[in-house]
Amino acid sequence: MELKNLRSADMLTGIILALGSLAVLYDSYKMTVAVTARGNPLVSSPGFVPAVIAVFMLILGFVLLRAGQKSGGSLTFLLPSRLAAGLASAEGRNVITILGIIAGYIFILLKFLPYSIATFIFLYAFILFYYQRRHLRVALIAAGVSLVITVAFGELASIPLPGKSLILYLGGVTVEIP
Amino acid sequence: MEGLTAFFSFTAQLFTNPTAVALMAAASALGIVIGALPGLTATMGIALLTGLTYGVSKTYALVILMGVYVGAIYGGSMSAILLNVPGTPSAAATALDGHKMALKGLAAEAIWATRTASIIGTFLGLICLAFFTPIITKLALNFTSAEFFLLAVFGVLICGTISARDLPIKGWIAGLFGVFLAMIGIEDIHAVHRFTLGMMDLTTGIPLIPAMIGFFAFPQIIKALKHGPAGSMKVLEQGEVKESLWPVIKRNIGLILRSTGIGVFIGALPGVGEDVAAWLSYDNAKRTCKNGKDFGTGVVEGAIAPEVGNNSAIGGALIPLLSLAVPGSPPAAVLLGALLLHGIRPGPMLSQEFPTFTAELTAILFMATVFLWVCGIIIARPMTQILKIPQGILMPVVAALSIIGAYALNLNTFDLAILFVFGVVGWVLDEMGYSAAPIILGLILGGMIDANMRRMLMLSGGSLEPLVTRPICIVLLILILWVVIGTLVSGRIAAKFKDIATHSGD
Repeated sequence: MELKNLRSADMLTGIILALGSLAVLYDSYKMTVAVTARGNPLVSSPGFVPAVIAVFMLILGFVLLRAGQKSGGSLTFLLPSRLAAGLASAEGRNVITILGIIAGYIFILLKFLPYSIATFIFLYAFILFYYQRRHLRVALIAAGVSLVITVAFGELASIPLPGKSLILYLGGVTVEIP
Repeated sequence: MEGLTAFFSFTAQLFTNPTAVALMAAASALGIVIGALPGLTATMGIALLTGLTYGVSKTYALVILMGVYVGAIYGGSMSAILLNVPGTPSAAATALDGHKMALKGLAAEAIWATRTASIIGTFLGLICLAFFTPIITKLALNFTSAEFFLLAVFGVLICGTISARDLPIKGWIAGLFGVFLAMIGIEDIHAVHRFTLGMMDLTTGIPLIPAMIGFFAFPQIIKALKHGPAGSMKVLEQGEVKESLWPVIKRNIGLILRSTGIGVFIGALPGVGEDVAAWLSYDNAKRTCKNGKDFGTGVVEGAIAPEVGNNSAIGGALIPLLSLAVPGSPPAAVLLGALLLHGIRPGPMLSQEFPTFTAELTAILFMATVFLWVCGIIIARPMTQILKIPQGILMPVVAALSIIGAYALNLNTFDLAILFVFGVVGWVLDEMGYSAAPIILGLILGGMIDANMRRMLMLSGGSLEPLVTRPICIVLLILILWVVIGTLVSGRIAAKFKDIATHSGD
């Protein structure tokens, strides 16, 4: 990240840290009041250490904000037009794609499909997008890796794999796809 | 003398037993692979195998478990070097210089150096286990909650200072953030829900392994692929080890011995573990080596020191385990369960109930060290080939392994959500110049900081007096102040020089 953008991001981080610290201080205060009201010492309160951390974070947040400001940072990058430009850039689109593929695997594929099939689809889509070779070659790589991981973790390490298992009845034989 | 005789006798028996040799070879190789895979830690490896070793004899069980333990602690450095994704938390410090060496085409050298360092560290650690157990136990018993609190603070502070890529305070902010994350969940003393946002899954706290994988793996995956398909065909060129690195080892004997001392001592402290040992060894190396200012750019000493530290901590962690039945690290805690399962009761009565057990365990640890060398050499070459795999294939596979690694420990799909959330946060923080290492160390040590700080204050009636009157606390406090003031002063001096350089051109 360019230095000016970095310092601008530091300013935003400083503000977030300061606000977050105040929220933690408030929560810590509530916890402390609840516990000390029962006659327990203040230092045993569950809010004591978080409050100490929040105080340090508040100080460091202001230091970061000041350091960012002194180095020429500004908060104009938060303008919707600049944010949209960042997300629409080639790099921004790639980051969204990568996170989208991973999110799709974790939150959709693994929810509805057996692990081996979900992993195959995930690897196939991911490798195809970023390796861009023939479909068959990518499919073979994805199938091979998916099989190795399924066997290594599911059979050898006996770890119950995530995903929905699929049970097939084939001519009187029950086959479970992990 | 009797102990030494017993040690040699057990060593001879083990090396002449084909079953023991085969089991140790398999366990070492498995341990290295477990350690290298993100998410599969030494703790998990030992835990998974403890149940499987129930039906075998005590000796064979210990051969398997120690082989996995030693192999996994070393194995974490492989993925740290090759992928900048430490396989175990204790390898995070190794990644700082190890991966930079790989980027310079020196992956083979880095792997050779870390393997050699691990072997030396494990060997020296077992010598300390055999000869210095009473002394180290006595020192460790002097640690009270005040000392543990300051040691944990020092560990996080050092890690933050060393790993800060931009402003030093970013390292401290990262460490504090990690400590705060450790506060989430049901608190120990009053069973109050802290910062759980009403979510039942957060009552047990933020799971360490998914968070760690997310923080380390996602930024790497995104960095490798963010320039799109055209940029993802890059293959890192690697060479063979060009010349012997033994002169490097000989030149750094002092560093190795210091890192061993740090590793053994930190390992002997209950609950602290290999992670802190690695960071403190790295910091010591950075401060004492002539090329300390080059640390972080790919110097071999930066890879050697943490590996000696974390592997010598294995021997250190066994010291309180055997003498006090208090594990010195998380893997040692699981090992304690395995020992109890096989009818061994560690503690003060061990030398009377099982007089030769310490010698036997030391012999097994020696055997594990030898096989670490053998298996490490065999596995190293195929592992370096990983870097020749196009990033467009390698990173999706790393993603798949990271996801199953995050799930495998607790078998909880919520951990996958944690992985994703912390992966995104980790990438954003990485872009802004924050390192993941102090966050993870803060998450590991946050509970220790919280519990010991409050315990110390409750016992002292709210007074901070123990921090300034106990000798070990004074030393730790001086070290903490030295790091903080030193960092701030050197930062101001650097800024002043930058100002002078900027204005001298006017």
